[in-house]
Amino acid sequence: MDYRDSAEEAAYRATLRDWLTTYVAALDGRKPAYREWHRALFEAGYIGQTWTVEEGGKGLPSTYDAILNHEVAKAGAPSVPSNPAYLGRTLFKFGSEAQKEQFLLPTLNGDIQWCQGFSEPGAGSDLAAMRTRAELVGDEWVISGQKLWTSAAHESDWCFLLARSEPDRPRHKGISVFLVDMSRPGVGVRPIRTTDGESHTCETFWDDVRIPKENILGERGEGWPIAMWALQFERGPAHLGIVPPLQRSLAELEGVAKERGLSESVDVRRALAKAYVDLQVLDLNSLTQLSMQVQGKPSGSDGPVAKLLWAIGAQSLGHAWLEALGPDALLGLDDGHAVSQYFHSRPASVYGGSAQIQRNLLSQRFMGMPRSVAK
Amino acid sequence: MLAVLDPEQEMLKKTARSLAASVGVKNPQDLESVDEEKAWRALTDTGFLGLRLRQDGQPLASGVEAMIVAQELGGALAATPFLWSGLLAVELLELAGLSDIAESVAGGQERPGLLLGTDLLGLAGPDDVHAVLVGGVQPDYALAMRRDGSGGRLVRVEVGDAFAPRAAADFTAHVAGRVAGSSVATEDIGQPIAAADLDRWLALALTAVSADCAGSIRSALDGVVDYTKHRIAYEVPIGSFQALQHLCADAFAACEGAVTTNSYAAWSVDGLDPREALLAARTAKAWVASVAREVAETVMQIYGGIGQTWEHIAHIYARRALFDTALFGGENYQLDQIYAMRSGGN
Repeated sequence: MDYRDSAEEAAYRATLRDWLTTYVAALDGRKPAYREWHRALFEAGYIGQTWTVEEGGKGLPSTYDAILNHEVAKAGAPSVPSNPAYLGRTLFKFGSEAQKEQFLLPTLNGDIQWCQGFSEPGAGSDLAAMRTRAELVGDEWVISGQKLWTSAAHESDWCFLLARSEPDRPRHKGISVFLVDMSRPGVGVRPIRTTDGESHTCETFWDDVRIPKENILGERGEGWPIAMWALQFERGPAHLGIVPPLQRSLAELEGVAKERGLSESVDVRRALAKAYVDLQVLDLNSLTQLSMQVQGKPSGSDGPVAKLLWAIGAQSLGHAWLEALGPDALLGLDDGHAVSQYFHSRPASVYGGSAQIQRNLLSQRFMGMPRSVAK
Repeated sequence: MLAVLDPEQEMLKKTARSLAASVGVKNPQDLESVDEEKAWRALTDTGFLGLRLRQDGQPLASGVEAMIVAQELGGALAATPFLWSGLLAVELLELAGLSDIAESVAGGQERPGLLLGTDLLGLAGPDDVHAVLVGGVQPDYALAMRRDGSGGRLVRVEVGDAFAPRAAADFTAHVAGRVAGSSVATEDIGQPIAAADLDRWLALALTAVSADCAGSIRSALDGVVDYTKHRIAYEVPIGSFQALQHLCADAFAACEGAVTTNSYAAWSVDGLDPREALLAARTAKAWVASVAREVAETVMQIYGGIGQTWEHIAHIYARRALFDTALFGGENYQLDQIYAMRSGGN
């Protein structure tokens, strides 16, 4: 057990820091467009760095992602794009040669931004209840239905879409994955404003959208295991780089508290320290998770535990924002920032499999507690 | 950077687990027949008491090995003063440059206890008549700390007849208090200990106590989860009830968080500078203290009626968790210290 950088890690970190310093300085205070940032990271060799060389990566151990995420956050740059980490990997594992040829490089370099069409109005945590249909008509799949929580759909080029292609088969066996060009006729996107006042996620409408027959990923009816394979990465805070932005938010809050003299209150001081502790637990747990992957022995219970600790950390921070600003936050004297931060933390226990689903998984699959008999 | 145990550490964990099982407590009745001498010999023979002996100025084993042993002993509810008379006493003696005595302690030839303040936040001064003595049935003498500016001097305090056992809440711990009106002989020993070394010692102490606590609550949880698979109510195993599954899952995640944070703290004891090590240790302790009682209570709740009885093991775990939580400060105390450290204060 050693948390210190190895010589290789230290060298990697130093090079990365130099690159980030130069990049951020060149921006001169301007916030880069997402694609521009994605492209810059790719060109510097930081996207897909932990993929195997065969996959088009550098074959670095997973722990390098922790270094990348931390240094990027420290430099005040936007988060590292997460698309390649899980959708890209899934394309590589399940895609045909032609699909890899078409999608892998653009996914890595940011030319293609993906959204994920999984949830539906009637299928959230119970994802397999989805009803969006895909029907093979001649040489085309015709997709119809509605998706919800299609994050960043309004800024995406392609959708990694789950739809029911085999309506007569049992529900987990009738789903397929489709790769859908968002510019096809019949695709409708409506941003959803969430309780934090932001509109990062969307509702999407699929009105007889026709796509080529070959844009199915894997075999017909094999979509469920593919989606579950992708989700193991999507739920991992280690892969998504979600810890550094939370730590940055905490640093911002600590600055605000100091500036406004809010830390005179013991309650505020404790709320800030508590958020720090909970985020440290999340961060260290992510590092443990990555380390176990490096050793090729992920424990299985990692995913649900990480997701639960993620929600605890994010929401502890949300509470700290409210606690620190107190009435000022409620009276809008801080431009609504604290309340927005608070509401921003609430979905952390809902998206990517709700906290309740994680508890089911943990207790039934990993702690061996018996499943209830009720259907 | 690898945040998992290496093969030797995994091996140590196995050894510690089997030793802990042989000196541990499975039922409250076992407490009456604990053979502390036998347990102490076992710890001596495996070299666990000497983990922090120095060779060429370096500890034989890091904070990680100390954590591993503490966690396993906590998990088995071992009623042995490994922390007090072993690990932490040896560390203090080494810091004071008293290697010969430290070796004699590690070899089982002498057994000191430690004197803690009644607030349980740290070592007591030699003149503190309220100080409590921790460390086994009959320690030969006690170690106290005379604060001297920001550093301190180690003090040997003769126990004699001046201390009488206290009915402490944790039945697996031995605590004694001063007999009213008694006097004790004291003697400063060894070289002065610098503030930075005291910080490092405290980081080790916090980490070891957190590990003991994490081991204890995790093992309590494992026990009750097993119980839910066999206990039948309404014609089904109670473990099939989602209400209980969710309680257990939350407790499990809390324990995982404890182990992962303890690991970093344990590594930090020797891997970081003392202030950072202390911050890591306080962070781990704050988390452990925030979850320990709740996990212990969840365990008692799920056992139901049987878990409320004197004869059941559940309260022995809870008692250990409560004591560990208070040792060197509970959650709020740690949060206050963490805030102060992070905002550039003490």
